[in-house]
Amino acid sequence: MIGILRYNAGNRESVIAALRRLDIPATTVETSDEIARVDGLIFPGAGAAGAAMDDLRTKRLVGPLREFRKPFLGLCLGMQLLLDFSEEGNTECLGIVRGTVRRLPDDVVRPHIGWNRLDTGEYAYFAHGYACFPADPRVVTMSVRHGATICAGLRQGCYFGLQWHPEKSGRTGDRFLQSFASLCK
Amino acid sequence: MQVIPAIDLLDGKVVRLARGDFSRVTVFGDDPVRVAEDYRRSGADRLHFVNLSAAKDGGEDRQFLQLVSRLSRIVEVQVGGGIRDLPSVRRHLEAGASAVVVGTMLFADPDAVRAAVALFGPQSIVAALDVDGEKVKILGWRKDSGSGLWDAARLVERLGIRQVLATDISRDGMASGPNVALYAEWKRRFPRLRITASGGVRDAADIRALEEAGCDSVVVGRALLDNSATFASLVHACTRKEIESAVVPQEEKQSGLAVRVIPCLDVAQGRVVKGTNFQNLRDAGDPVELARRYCDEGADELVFLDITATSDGRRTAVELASRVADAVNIPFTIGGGVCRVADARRLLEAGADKVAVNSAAVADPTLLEEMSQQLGVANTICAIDARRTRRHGGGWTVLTRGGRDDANIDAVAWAERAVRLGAGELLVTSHDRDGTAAGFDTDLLARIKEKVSVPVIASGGGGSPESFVDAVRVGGADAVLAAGVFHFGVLSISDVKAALRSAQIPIRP
Repeated sequence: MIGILRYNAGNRESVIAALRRLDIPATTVETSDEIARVDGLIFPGAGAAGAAMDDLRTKRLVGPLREFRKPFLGLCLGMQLLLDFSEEGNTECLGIVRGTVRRLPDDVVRPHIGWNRLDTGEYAYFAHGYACFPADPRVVTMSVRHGATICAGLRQGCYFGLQWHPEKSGRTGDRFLQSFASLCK
Repeated sequence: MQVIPAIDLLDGKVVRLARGDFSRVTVFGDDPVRVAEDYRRSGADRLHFVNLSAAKDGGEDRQFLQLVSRLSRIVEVQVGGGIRDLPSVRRHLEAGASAVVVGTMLFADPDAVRAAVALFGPQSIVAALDVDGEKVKILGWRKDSGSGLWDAARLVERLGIRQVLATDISRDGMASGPNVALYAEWKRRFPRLRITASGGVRDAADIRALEEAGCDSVVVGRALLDNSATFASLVHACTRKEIESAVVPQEEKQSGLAVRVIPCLDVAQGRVVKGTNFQNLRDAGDPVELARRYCDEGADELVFLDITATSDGRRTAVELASRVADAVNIPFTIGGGVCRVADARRLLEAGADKVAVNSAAVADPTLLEEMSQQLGVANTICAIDARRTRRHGGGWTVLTRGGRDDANIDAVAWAERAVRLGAGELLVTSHDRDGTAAGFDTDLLARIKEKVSVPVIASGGGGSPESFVDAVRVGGADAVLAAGVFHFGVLSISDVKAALRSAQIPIRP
C-alpha cells in the first residue's frame, strides 16, 4: 500500500485520482504512525515552500520524512523540499538531498508551465517557478531545458523526486507511477 | 577512455573464470576490499564488481550487498551478477552502487529494465551483452538469449539505456587480446550508445586499439590480477582522459517547451452547453466524457469555464473537477464564478491544476495576490476578456461578467498588473474575434507578451489551422485555445498540431 501525505500543500487529490485510475492501491496518511505502516510514500506538493515547511513542522512530520527508509517520491514542490534550502521565501527545507532550490532564470517564460521534452525524448507536464540544483550532479536522473538545464528528476538512496507531474503527464506519467509502485513491494 | 578494473567474486573469493566456465576457476585471493583499495591507490575511479555466485545460481546474499556498501565508500562501483528484477536493482543501488549491470533481465523482463531506467536514471543502468559470435548469451553465459547481437542492441536502445558492456566470451579470461573489430562495428552501428569493452585485454597496445575503435571504457580483469599489466600502464595508454556523462547533454535550445493546444468546454450546471458533433458519444453534454475524448485525441490541457456563477454552480464545479481528475491524465483549469480564495482552494483540492479568475479579480485585484501566495503562482490564472476600443490610446478595454460589462480599463495595463499581483498565466480572449473563427487578435497578444514574462494562452477567433500558427508566430502565444471549431468538428486537435509542426513550432506529439 502506498501512502499519500496529507498536509497543506497538496495536489493530493490529483495524485489519488491518478493512482485510482491506474489501479494502484493507495491511502492518505498524515501521522508518523500512519507513515510507518505504508510500503512507499508519495509526497505531493503545490504552492509555496515556506507555508509547506511550516505545516510539516507543526504536524511533526520532519523527522518521520527524514527517517523514511522505503521508496519515497516527492513531486514538484515535494521534490524541492527534499533539498537543504529554497530561495522561495528563504525557506529551510528537509535537508535530505544536498543542494538548493533557486528561481528559474529571467530570460525564459516563468513560471515554467506546460509540456517540456525530457532528455529521454518524452514529454512531461511542468508547472513551477523554482528548480532544484543538487550539490551532487550524480543524483540527477533526468533533465529538461528551460533557460538552463533543469533537474527534472533525482534519486538519492530511497528518495526519488520529480519536478514534473506524473499524475498529469499522460502515458509517460502513468508509466512512471506504475514503475514507482512496483518498487513499493 | 576509462579503464575499469574488474573484481569477480565466487564463494567469497576473488577469481577469474576462463571463458565463463565455472569449472576453470583461478583464485586470486579472498579479500576483495584490499584489492579494491589497491586499485583505488593506483588511480582507478570505478570498479566492475561481479557476484559470480548469483550469476550462476540466481538470488543474492546480504554479505554481497554489504561488500557493495564497503567498496562503494572506497571507489565508484558498478555491480553485476544475478540482478534480475526491479527490487534487486533497487537493493544494489541503495547499498551504494553507482550503477547496476543487467544482462539476463534485459530479455526476461524488459519492462522492468525500462522502469529502472526511468526511476534511477540512465547513469545507473548498464546493459551487459555477453557476445558469442553473432549470438547473445544469458544466465551466466550458459543459455542462448534467443536474440541476435544487433537485435539485442536495438532492444537496449529502445529501453532508454545509454551504456553497454559488451563482453566477447570467447576471449574473456584468455589473455588472447580483445575483439577490436566487434567494438568498431558497434560504434559504427550505434554511435549514441557508450560502449565498454571487456574480454581478453592484455596490455597497453590492446587499450590503444580499443580506444581507436571508439570504445568509451574498458573492463580489465585477469591482466591486472596476474600482474601481467599494471593499472598505471593501461591508463597511460589512453589519450582521451575525460569521462563523458551518461546523461546526454541537452541541445542548447532555450527551452524544449511545447506549444499547448487546449479545447475549452463551457459548462452550466455541470453540463456542456455549446453543442458538439462528436460521433459515438453516449452523452454529448457530459463534460467528463468529452474531456476523455479530447484527452485521447491528444489535447495537452483542458479548460472548463463554468458559466453559472451561482453558489450552486460552484458546488457542481467542485464535483466536476473531481470527476475530471479521475478520468484524464492531463492538466486542466476551471474558471467562472470564482470570487474567493476558498473557492479556488476547493477546486484545486478536488483535482484541478489551475483556477482562472476574471471579473472577481477586476473587482478586487487583491484576489490574485492572495491566490498566488496561498495556492501558488503556477496555479493562478488571470482570464482577461478584451475588446478593441478607441480609448486607452486605441487599444483594448477589459470586459467583465461574460462580456456584458465594460470595466473601462486598459487590457494591456491590466495584464501587466495581474502578473505583478501574482498571476502565473494569462488566458487572453479577444471578445471581437470570439466565435468568429476569423483568427486570433495577434496584435493584442503581441502587446501583452511584450509586457509580461508569464505564459499567455490565446483565445477567441481560432478558425483555420494557420490562425493557430499566427497566434504563436505573430502573437507570441504559449498556448492556443478554442471551443467551437473543436466541438463542431471543423478542426481536430491533430489538425492544429500538424499545422504547428509544419511551421516548426514545437508540439507534444
